[in-house]
Amino acid sequence: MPKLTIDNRQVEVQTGVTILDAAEKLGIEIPTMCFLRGHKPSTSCMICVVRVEGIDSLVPACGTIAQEGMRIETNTEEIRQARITALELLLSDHVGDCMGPCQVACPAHMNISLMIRQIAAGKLRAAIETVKKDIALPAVLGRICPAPCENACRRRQHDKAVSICLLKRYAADVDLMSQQPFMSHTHPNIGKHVAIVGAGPAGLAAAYYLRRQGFGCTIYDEHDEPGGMLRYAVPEQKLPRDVLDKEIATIAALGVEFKLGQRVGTAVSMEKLCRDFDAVFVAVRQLKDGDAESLGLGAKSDCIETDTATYQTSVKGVFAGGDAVRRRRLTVRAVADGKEAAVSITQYLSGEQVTGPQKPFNSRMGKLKEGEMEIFLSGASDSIRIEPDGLDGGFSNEQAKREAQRCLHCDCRKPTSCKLRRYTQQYHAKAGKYKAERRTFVQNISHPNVIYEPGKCINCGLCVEIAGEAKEKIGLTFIGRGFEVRVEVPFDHSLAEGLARIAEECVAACPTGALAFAGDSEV
Amino acid sequence: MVEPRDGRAIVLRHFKPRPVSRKVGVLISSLLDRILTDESWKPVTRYSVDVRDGHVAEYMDRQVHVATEHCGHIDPVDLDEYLANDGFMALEKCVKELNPQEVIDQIKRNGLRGRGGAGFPTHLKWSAVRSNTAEKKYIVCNGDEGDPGAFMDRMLMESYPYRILEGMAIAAHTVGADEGFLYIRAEYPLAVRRISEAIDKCRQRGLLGNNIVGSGFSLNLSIVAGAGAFVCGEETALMASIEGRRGMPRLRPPYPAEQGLWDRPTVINNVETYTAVPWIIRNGAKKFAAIGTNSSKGTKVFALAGKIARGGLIEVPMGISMHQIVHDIGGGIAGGLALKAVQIGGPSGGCIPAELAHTPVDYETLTSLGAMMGSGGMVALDESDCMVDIARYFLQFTQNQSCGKCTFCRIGTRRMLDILERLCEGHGKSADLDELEQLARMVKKTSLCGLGKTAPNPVLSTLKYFRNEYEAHIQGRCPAAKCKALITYSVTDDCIGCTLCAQSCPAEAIQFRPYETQEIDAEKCIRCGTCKSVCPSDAIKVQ
Repeated sequence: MPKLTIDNRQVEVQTGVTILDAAEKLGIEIPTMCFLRGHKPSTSCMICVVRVEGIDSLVPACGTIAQEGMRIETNTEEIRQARITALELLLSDHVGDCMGPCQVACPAHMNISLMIRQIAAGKLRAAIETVKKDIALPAVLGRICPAPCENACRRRQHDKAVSICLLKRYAADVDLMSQQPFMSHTHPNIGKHVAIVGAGPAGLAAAYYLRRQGFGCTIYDEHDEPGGMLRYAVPEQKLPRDVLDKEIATIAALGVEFKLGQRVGTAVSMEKLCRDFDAVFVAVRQLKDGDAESLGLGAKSDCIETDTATYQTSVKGVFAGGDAVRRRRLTVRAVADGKEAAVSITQYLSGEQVTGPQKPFNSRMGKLKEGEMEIFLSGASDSIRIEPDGLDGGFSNEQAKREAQRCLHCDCRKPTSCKLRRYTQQYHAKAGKYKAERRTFVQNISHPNVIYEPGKCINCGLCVEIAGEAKEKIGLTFIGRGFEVRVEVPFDHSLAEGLARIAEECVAACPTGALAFAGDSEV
Repeated sequence: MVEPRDGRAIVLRHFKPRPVSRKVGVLISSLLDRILTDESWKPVTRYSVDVRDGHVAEYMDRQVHVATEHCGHIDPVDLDEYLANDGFMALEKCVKELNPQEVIDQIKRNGLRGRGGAGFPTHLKWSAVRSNTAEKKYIVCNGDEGDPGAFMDRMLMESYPYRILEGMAIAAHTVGADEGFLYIRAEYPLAVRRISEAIDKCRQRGLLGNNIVGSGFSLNLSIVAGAGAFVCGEETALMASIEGRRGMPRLRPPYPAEQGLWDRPTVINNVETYTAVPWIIRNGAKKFAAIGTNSSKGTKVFALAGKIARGGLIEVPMGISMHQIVHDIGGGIAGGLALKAVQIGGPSGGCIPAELAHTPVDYETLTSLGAMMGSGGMVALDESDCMVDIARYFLQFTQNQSCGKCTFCRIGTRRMLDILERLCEGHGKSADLDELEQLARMVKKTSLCGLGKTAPNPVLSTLKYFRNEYEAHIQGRCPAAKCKALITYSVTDDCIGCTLCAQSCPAEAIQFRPYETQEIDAEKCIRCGTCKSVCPSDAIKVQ
C-alpha cells in the first residue's frame, strides 16, 4: 500500500493505482479529456500532466502508477502553463463553432439555433423557454429589432439569411395567444428587494430575471404606463400597444410591483431607495441635463459611469444599464443589459464576489472556405427565404416550420459536454495563441444516427479503444502520420459499418463534439 | 601471409617443368632475370601505409575495431571464417564456463551502455529481465536505424551478422529467453538477406535453435521487417509493430524488461550493443573498460557525413575529440570553407559549434552541451550551411514521423515547424524566437516518447549557439546565403561578358548581352545556383 504526497498532502493507496486515482482520493481534481474509467489510459491529450519530484519530464497522471514515496505537484505555475499550452495547441487545430455566429452576434446571446430547431420540430413551448432564457421581450423585439443575428447568419453567404427575427416573433406570438402563456419558474422569495428605476426594456428585463431568482422587484417610472421608449417613442403601427401590454403582463405576472407616475430624483429620492431596498438598478432612458445629479451618480458625456462587466456604479449597491449608460443603441442591447445586470445584482445580494455573467468560451470557424457551404447545406432545406403572410405580418405555422428548416446548424452538437470547451474556459486558454491556417471542415454522415466531424477530434483514441474492446469487425483506427493523423474507419468503409453496434458508447465517450448524435442536440 | 615476392616460388611449386630442355631453359631465363632486371639490383622498397597512402592511414589509424573487429578481412556470411576467427567462442564460454550472473558482472565491469542513443547501462536491463520469475521471455534486436543518413547498424548487420547473433544468444542465455526477433527496417534488404542467411546457417550448425551445442539452451530467432516508420525505432512502438499493431509508443513505466512483447519480460537492445558483447566476454577483465572515458566505456561507430573530406563509417574510442574525428580522421572540411558546427545524433541530437570542437565524445559531456550522442550520425557543417535551415530540416523529418498520439508532439512540433518555415521564408516576427523556444521546451518535457522528447533538440541547440542567425532571418537575411527566399544572386564587376550564365539559366532570368556585365532579374531568379557554378570568373555574388 504505497504512501505518497500530492500537493503537500499525504495519501495511502492500493498498489497499482494511478496518480489520478490517488489525487481523487484526496479530493484533488486533475483535468482529463482522453481518459475514461474502465478503459486503458490513452495518455494522448496530456492535459493531466503532473510534476513528480526526481523525474525530468512531466508525466500523465492518468497512466502513471503511484509509487511509494512519490512527491507530486498538480497545480503549480509550471503545470498550469503546460495545461494551457495543451489546450491552446488543440484549439489551434480545432474546426468548428461552439455557438452559431448568430448567437455570437446577438447582444443577449440567445441560443438561436436551438430555438429554430425546436420550432422546426413543432416544440413551441420548448422554443419559448429557450427564448426567454436570454430575451425577456421577444414579441416586442420580433417587431422592432434590426436583427444583427441575421447579418451574421452563415446562410447569408449562400442565398438569404434565415428569418430569425420573425421566427422568434412567431414563437412569442404563439405563446402570448395561448391559453396559458409560459410562466417562468421563480425561486422562493429570499426576502431581498431591488428597486428598478425605469420601466423601459432594460428595467423590465432586469425585473424579469431578478424575479426568477426570487428577489422582490419594484419598478419606478415617471410615466403613467410602463414600457418607456417602447410606448412613448416607438410608433404604434410598428409595435401594436396590445402586444406590448401582453408582454409586459407576462413580466408583471411573476410578481413585479409597479410604482408609476413617480419620478426618482424628484418625487422619490435616491437616498430613500438606497435605504428601503437592498439594491437599485437605474435604467432611465438616455440622460438629459441634470439627470445624473438628481440620481446622485457620476456621468461622462451623457452616460452614467459603470463598470462594463458588472454594471456597478460608483455607489455601492447601485447598478445601471440601458440607454443611460451608452448612447442610443439597440433595444435588444438594453434587454441584454437588464439580464446581465440581474446576474451582477444576484451575486451582490448573495454575498458573492460581483464579477458579472461568465462569458462562455467560443471557438470560431470564421469565414467558410470553398466547398464548405455545401456540407452545411446538405443538412438543411434548399428553399429560399420565406416571406411571411400570417397574422399581421408574422409567419403562419406552416411557414415557420419551413423557414426553420433552412437553418444550417452551425452550432456544435455538444456545447455543454465538450471538455475542450470546459477546460479552455476554466484555464483561460486563448484560441488564437498559435495562429495557423484552418483545416477544411469535413463532416462524415455515413451513419444514420451519428455525425463525425474530424476537425473537432483531439485524437484521444477512446472511440478506437471502445470499438476494439467491443470486437467491432471494422471499428475505427488512426490513419496517417504526424500532424495529419486522423481517426477514420479503415479501408474506406462507412461509419455505420465501422460502428455497427457500439456507436452510442463512442458518442458518449467522445470528449468533444467530434462524434455526436445527428438528432436533437444538447440544450 | 602471402607476399608478392613469394609468388614465383609458389607457381614453380605447382608448375614444375618436365622435359630437361625446359628445365635448362627456365634456369637460364631466371639467371638472366636476376642479372638484367631492377629487382635484384634495386629491390622494391616497401613503404608503410602511412607514407604511401597517407589518407588511408589517417582514416584507419585512430580507429579501434570492436564491433567491427576483423574489418575488411572477414566474409560476412562465411560461418567457418567467423568460427576460425574466435567466432562463437564467447557464447561457448558463457554457456559452459560462466554463470549468468558472472556474465552480467562482466558486462557491468566493462561499462557497456546501449548504443542506440539513450546510453542506458546494458547490465541493468539484462539484470532486470534475468531476475523476473516469468517463464517466457523474449530477446529483441532493434535494427530499425531511422536517422536520415545514418548507416552504422546497416553496415554491422550486412557485414557482421554472426557477431550480432552471437551477442543476442549470449544475452538470451543470460536472461533466460528462448525466442527472439530482429526488427530490421525493410529499406535494408541486404541486411535482411544476410541476417536471414546467417540464422539459417547457424541453425544448420546447431548454433541456434533447440539444444544449442548440446547445452540444453534453446534460442529461436526470426526477422520482422519494418515498414518505413522512424517511430518504430522507439522500443515500445517497435514491440507494438512486432505484435502486428500500429507502431505507436506507450507510456513507460512499465519498461520492456518488466512488460515487453505480449506483456512478457523482454530484452531489447540496439544492433551495435549486441556486436560489442562477444568481444567483451572473450577479452574479459576490463579490456573494454580500458578504452574510453570514465562514464563512457569502449568504442562507438559513427557515420561521418556532410561537408567532410573523408566521410564514411568509423569506430573510435569514446573520449576522442570532435576535432580529431573531423580533422584527423575525416580530413577536415571539403571545399575550402571553415567548419561551423557538427550535428551529432541526427534529428534527435544537437549541434556542437566549431569553437567547442575539442569536446570529447562522451555521453554526459555531449548532453551537458545540449547535444546528444544519438545512434552515431555526425554531420559536418560549414559556413555555407544555414543553421536555421538545418533545424527546419530535422524538425520537418520528426514532425512527419510522429505517430500522432500525444498533443505536444503531434501539434507542438507542427507549430514549431510553422515558425521555422516562416523564418526561412522571411516572414519571421520578433516574438517568434521566444515562442519557438518556449514551445520547444514544453514539447521536450511533456511528450510521451523519445521522438517527441528529442525532436526539439536541433532547434534548442541551434538557438543556443547560433541565435544570431535566427535574428538575422527575422531581419530578412540569411548569413549562410542558403534560404532561397532571403538571398539574391547578382553579378559583380568581375564579369567578362562570356554569357555562359545567361545561356544556362533555367528561369531565363539573365538577358543575353555579350561582352557586357550581365544582370540577373531578381523576380525571375529561382536561386538554383547554376549561374554561379558555370561562371568562369567567379563573378556571381550570393547574399
